[in-house]
Amino acid sequence: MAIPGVLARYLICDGIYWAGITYRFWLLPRIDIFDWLWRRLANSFAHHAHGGYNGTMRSKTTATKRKVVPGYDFSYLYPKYRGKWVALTRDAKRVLAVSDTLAGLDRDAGKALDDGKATVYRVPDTDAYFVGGYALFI
Amino acid sequence: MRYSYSIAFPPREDGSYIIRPMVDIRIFGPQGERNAKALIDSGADFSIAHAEYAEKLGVEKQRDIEIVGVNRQPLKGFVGVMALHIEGIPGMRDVPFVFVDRPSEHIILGQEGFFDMHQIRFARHQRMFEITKVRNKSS
Repeated sequence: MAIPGVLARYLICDGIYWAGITYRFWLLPRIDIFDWLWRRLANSFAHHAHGGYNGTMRSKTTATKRKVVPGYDFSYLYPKYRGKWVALTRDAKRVLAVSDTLAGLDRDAGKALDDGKATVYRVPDTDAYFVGGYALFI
Repeated sequence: MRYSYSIAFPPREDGSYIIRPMVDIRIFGPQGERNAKALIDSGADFSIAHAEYAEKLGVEKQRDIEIVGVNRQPLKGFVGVMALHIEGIPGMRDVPFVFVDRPSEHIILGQEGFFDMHQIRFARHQRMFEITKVRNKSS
């Protein structure tokens, strides 16, 4: 059944009227709608500025351009160099020298270490889980 | 600055990896400097380094100390200070380290002198941790 035009216009106007009444006398006293909208907007902006969900949404703000220093993969050193001191390239991808002691490492790769071109890592002597932590004896 | 976790070992039998929060550090003593990989360890009261570092870098002994780990075996060491630089955050002077002469010890960054001067947020589920400098002097 078609709704007569007069009735349709009445229903639309009535809807706007009651929406206005509801907003003015019920919603507005309860919340500051503009404050709420502003908060939503600011919140949304902050959310995306920090990379969105799980940091996967990329924004062009500086916040998401924060550099992440990559980790290293030491797994290739074990078990071959188990318990040894190794001098590695800065990216930890290549072994420059191996020794049983730190002093021995200095002897074999001292120049690279002095020049800052190498870094020292001690390959763990066991692949057991490490429960770290040292307390002081006072 | 944000850092990714490092992989310590080849995958285990079930295919899992042991990953650890490690950073590239540069330590400075009166007689030299060295690059090294260090473990961030919130369970350590102090930062720890092998005694050979103290010898190599000319770090002076301030006092003797005894520390104990999870195996409860007391370990003798001494306290000295080094300057420390970590990529991406301002360097620190006079960071106290306990130097121990045990072969298995490398470098651990612990509470005193490191955690008390930085805000450190671990997000292992993202394989990431974040270090932000918040203070200039330790308490």
